[in-house]
Amino acid sequence: MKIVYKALAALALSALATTASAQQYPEKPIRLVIPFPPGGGTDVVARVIAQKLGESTGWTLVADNKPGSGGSVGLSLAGKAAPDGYTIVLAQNANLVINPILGKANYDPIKDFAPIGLVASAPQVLVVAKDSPIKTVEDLLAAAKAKDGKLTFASPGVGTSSHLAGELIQQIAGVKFRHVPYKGSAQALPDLLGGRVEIYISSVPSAMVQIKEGVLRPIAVFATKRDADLPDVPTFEEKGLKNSEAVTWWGLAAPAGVPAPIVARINTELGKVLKQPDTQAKLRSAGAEALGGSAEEFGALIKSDVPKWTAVIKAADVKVAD
Amino acid sequence: MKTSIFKNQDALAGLLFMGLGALGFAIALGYKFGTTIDMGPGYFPRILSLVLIGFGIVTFLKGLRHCMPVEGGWAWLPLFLLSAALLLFGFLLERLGLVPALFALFFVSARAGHEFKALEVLVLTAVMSVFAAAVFVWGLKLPYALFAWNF
Amino acid sequence: MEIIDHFVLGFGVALSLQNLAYCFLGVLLGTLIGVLPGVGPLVTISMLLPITFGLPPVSAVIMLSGIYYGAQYGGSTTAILVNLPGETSSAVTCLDGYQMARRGRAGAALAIAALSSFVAGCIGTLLIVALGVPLASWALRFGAEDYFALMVLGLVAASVLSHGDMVKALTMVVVGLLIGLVGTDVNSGVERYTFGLPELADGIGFTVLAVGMFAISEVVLNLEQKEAREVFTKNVGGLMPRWEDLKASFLPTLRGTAIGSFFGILPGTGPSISSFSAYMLEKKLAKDPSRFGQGAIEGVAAPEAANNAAAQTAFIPTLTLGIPGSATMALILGALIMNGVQPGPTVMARNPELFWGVIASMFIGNALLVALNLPLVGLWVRLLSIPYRWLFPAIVMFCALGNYSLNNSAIDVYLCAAIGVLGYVLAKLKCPPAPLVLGYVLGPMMEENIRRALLLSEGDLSIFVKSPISLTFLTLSLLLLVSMALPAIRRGKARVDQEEEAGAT
Repeated sequence: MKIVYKALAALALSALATTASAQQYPEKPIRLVIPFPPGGGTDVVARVIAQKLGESTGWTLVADNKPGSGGSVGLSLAGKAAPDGYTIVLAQNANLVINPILGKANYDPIKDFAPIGLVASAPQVLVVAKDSPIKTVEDLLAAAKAKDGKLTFASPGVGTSSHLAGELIQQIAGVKFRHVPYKGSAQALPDLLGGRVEIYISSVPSAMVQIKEGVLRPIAVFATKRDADLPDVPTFEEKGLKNSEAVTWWGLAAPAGVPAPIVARINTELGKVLKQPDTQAKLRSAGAEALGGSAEEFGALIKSDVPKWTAVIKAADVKVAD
Repeated sequence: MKTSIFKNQDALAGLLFMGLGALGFAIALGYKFGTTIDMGPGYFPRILSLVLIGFGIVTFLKGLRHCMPVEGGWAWLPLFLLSAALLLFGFLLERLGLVPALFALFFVSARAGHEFKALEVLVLTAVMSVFAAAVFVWGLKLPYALFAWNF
Repeated sequence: MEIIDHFVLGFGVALSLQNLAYCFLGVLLGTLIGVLPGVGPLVTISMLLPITFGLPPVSAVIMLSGIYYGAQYGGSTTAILVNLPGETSSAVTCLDGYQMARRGRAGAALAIAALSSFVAGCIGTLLIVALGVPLASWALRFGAEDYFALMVLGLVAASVLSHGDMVKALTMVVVGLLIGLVGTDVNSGVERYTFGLPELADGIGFTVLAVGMFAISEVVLNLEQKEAREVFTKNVGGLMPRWEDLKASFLPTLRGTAIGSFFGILPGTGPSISSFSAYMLEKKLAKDPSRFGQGAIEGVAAPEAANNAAAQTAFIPTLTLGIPGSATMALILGALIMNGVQPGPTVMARNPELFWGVIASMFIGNALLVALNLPLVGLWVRLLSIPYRWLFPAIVMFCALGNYSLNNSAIDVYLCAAIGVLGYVLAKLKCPPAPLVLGYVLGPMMEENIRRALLLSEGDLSIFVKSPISLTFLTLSLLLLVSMALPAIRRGKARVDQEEEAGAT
């Protein structure tokens, strides 16, 4: 029995001996925390990045799915990990920025994380069923005014990016919808197609199939420029609704306190990977547009998103806790 | 004809239900109740908790009227050992890795059996560890370290 | 006959050596991961998805869908052998399948599970072909009020699950409903009963609950005896079902298939509701309901047929509307799109080769599954001759690893231990676990839908009777209640009379 314990101790010590240093980074596999279950949009983006980074640098990135509470579980875990560069996380604005504002997370997006770089983004889109009388943004606003707060607006859940995009557009356009939350799209889409709710907001990738097939009609996207997949669909900006950008973005982050040279190193490699046409095509097929840029730019985006969504959430009185 | 309440099947079940119901109700007091037309998040929890307390009382009274003793003894030791095995496994997997976690799981849970032969359990641990590593770590590519040191 | 041409085309595609091999690989993997609790088609398909990029689209989809429906076959294996549900849908199979195993009839139970799954899988596939588009648009007519009424019917029927004490069964339903409320409330976004743990924000997982309530508590019950005693009878009956078993399973299989097909088409209802419903219907129809829970073969055949039919018909909304009913279906939808296939009402016309090829592969896959599973029966049954002191720690290991792998989170393992304790205490107090699990499944959907229905109707309660679908379900619930109450009242009266007599003497 003693021999077994000794062997275990020896193995454990050898694992302990490998400490990080910026010069030889990385000396061991890097854990990439994915705060969503396998198969979803975030998982696809994360695995593309892990694979491409691995191919171009020879690093080993181990994908570690830690789903729960709209990404709060994975983010909170990554935020508390040792800041040695061997734990990084693919964050989304919904979990990094919005969940803490809603009180659904116990971390601070600015204090607890070191931004590494922006990876990709996908806009939100407002859709209706194909036989809906609403065909344009003007129709939508007219219908909302005529129905006086009774136009039903479905979302995939309270506090999701899609719900908040809906609140944002109500505030900018000065109209009122009746919010009907669902649990994801599985029941929301049948209700939309069956005519029980009138409009639905979703990220572009998750509505793409139905849009292509013609069962859903896109009205406008929440972006500053038109989406590459939906070139004929206007943006709300074009229609005069300024500052109506609502995108889902993904970015790499590390726990705060990670050495700056390591952040710079990952950012450089990430930038190279994101410029590869194959990476861009792979992200495109998941509905996301490859971005990039410096760690500072990503940090600035986070800092500007916090007050923006805090204001929307406050004005709309979105509460997830009594 | 006097059976202790602690051996009375229905009385105990009734008490358990009342306890669970009371706990559920107390926590649900923190959630908005709303009205039947506009239900709040507290509507269902409070109603269900009250129904549970009600059923608990009925079961308790039934137990007092027709006493049905609990069959067989309580296996507190096996229950404790198996729960401990699961807790240890969860605790150790993330800190020492899969193999030590399985080692703890097998040695603690096997104690719950009628016979405990250390050598036998060791062989069982070895065989099942190889199996688990093959299926979960190599086959399904789940990110579990076989050995680790995270404290 | 146009349809024959389609089938010729489809089987031409599916019977190519390459596609046959991928189909076999898919169903084999499916069976294996189905056996493992916690590990399901979701994680397997997402892991294999990148590999399928190199394959022709037809082969990729054939293999991935094989994993999906193959898992439904494997899920019943551990449920029957050791009361450990391998997939969410096989929790119901524990009820009678495990009792059959303890009585030395594991072989018959496993074989019937495979055969009824086969029949249901084939009929479900035929439904996709014959009625896919009309069924999908029919499912769109189900509104929140109809879902609510359907859940009410399910709850009323739950009392059928009781073993004698009706009050206790109903109480367990209520406990299950409360456990189902744990997590984020869909309508308000408020987290309930989560004790501040973000890991609980998505609720207690079905696997965590079912494994704790069935497998862990059963192991403790078996360890209760002071002296060593084997849990399974030594005299194992024939490996294969007898002629009477087949006869007894025939109609239940067909009814289970019908119920499963119905729920498979409704997005979001899930396979566990269909297997519960099939089980409850069989018990209600049975001449001698008391056999259920004691190893009734109908209690294995009907739910297994139901969950396989549901797995097949779940392809209908995915293929014809592009609306996936579950996370796994969403992955298969993703695989279709990445392989250049655009699902939707016109999918059959646009990609005939792929559509009919995949359909044909489902028939072949189901046949392969039976051919694969029947010979395995002998091997599985032999597992039961392993001494229990070796078997039970291994069961605990599968519970631990399976629960951990759900979210890669130790919290799920801790929760499973806690639910195991609750499950054991409840079992000792003769409170049946099945109604609890049913309440857990139905509760959240019931609350979500009644609140959504009232939100959409602006608080008008009359929608529940205005919708013909809802009205039908509510009427059925009422009839069921009356039919149960009448004999109970009569019996109650008889007992009072008896007591009075007893008191007089």
